[in-house]
This record gives sequence, structure tokens and C-alpha cells, in this order.
Amino acid sequence: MQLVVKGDETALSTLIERYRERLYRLAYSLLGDSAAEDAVQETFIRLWTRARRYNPRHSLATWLYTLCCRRCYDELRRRRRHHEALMQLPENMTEVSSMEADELLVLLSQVTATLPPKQRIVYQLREVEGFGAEETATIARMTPEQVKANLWAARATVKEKLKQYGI
Amino acid sequence: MEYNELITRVRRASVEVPDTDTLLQGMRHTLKHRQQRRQWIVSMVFVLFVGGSVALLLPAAPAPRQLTLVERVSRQLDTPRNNTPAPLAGYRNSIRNRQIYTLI
Repeated sequence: MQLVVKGDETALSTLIERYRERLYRLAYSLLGDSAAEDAVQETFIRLWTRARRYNPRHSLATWLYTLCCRRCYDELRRRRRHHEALMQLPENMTEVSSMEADELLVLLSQVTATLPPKQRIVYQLREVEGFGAEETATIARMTPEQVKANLWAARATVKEKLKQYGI
Repeated sequence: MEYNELITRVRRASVEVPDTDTLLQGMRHTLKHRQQRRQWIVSMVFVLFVGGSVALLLPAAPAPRQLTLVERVSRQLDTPRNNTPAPLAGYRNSIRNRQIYTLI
């Protein structure tokens, strides 16, 4: 990270190689493929231009997730304002048990698309990415209590919606 | 399928991730575009600042010269009769008459 602060592009490319998959996966789940690449790219641009602001007290992964979540949150809010559809539903919705993992990811993204942006991000970080409550709170810039409340509400909504697919 | 099974399977899902070179190329392009835009804004602000300063520093236009009495009277005489304001009409006519008498 110190090399990135000094402007070393090779170090930046190493970090991109290390984190691009995890960040893209998160952005893809939240925004869909067209906007996910932009969100990940913007995350790395901020890493490059704001490297001096990095606080070594937190892990680099947490900071990158924070940047990426911020970007995704802004985009989700923008879409919500403009009532834009987030993702297309897979055509064969009834055969959930025979779906591949990536199809299930799309299905879950669609099901969570109607959640408020904060709930959606918390749900994605805690339930799907498997972050702990404290880390989620740091990434989503919330208190652990807010994380807990948002997760509880999001999980209830998602479970209710999944009932129609026999889950 | 149970909810927990769904989550476990979703966690294993793989997505097609853009490669590092594509991301780096996109970043360079975006940064270059932003830098150009910033330069354009800075140059516009500079031009406006310089233009405004020059406009403020230019000497103000000189005040119009006061007309002499002769000039004022001759102007009055040159104006058509119909345009003469009512209070000045008698004065104007008396001057005109005096001029006519002088010529005679």
C-alpha cells in the first residue's frame, strides 16, 4: 500500500489482481453486470487517488469494501429515485432446485432488489459475503445495532419473497 | 430447497470478472478524461477572472461635456416645432422671432 501511495502502478496492479474478484462479486450482486464494472473501476480509482487517506488501523480489504459499498449505495439510491429496474429475472423461475449457483445469485439479487439500499448492502455483506457484524458496521458506516436491525428486516423480507419459489 | 442451502450455493457462485488490464485501461481513460475536464474548468475560470479584472481596470468613459448656452439654444432651435415641450414653446418662439427681426 505504501508503494501505491508513492505512485507505483505495479503495486496498484497487484492490488487490483488481489481484490477485483471479491469486489466485483459484491458489486455484481448489488448492481448487475453493467454497473458492477464501473463500480469496481471507481473503487480502484479512489484507491489510487486517495491512497494517502488510508488508515492502517483497518485492513485494506475493509477499506476497499467501504469504498465499493459507498459507490454501490449511491448508485442504488440513484436508481431508486429514478425507479429503474435492477436486474432481469431469469426466465425459468420455477425450477429453482435445478438452478446453477450463478443463476441463484441472479435470483437472489432480483429478490433483494426491492429492499432499501441500506438493508440490501447489509444483507449482502452479512448473509452472502459472510462478514461479521463489526466489520459490516465498519464497511457500511453504521452502528452494530443498525446492522442488526437492517439485517433482521432484510432477512424477513427475502424469506417471505422466496416462499413463492418454494424456498 | 432450504434457505440456508440457497445461501450456501450462492456463496459458491462464480461470476465473470473483468481482467486486471481491462480495469487498468478503464481507469487510465477515466482519469485522463477527468483531468482534461478539470483543466478546461480551470482555464475557463482563469479567462473569466482575467476578463473581469481587465474590465474593472479600464478607465471609465468620460462624462459628457456640458453644453454652452449658445449650443443649448441652437439645439432648441433645431428641434421641430411639434416636438418642443409646451413650457419651452413660448421661449423658443420669442427667440425665433428675435432672430427673424435681426435678419430683417
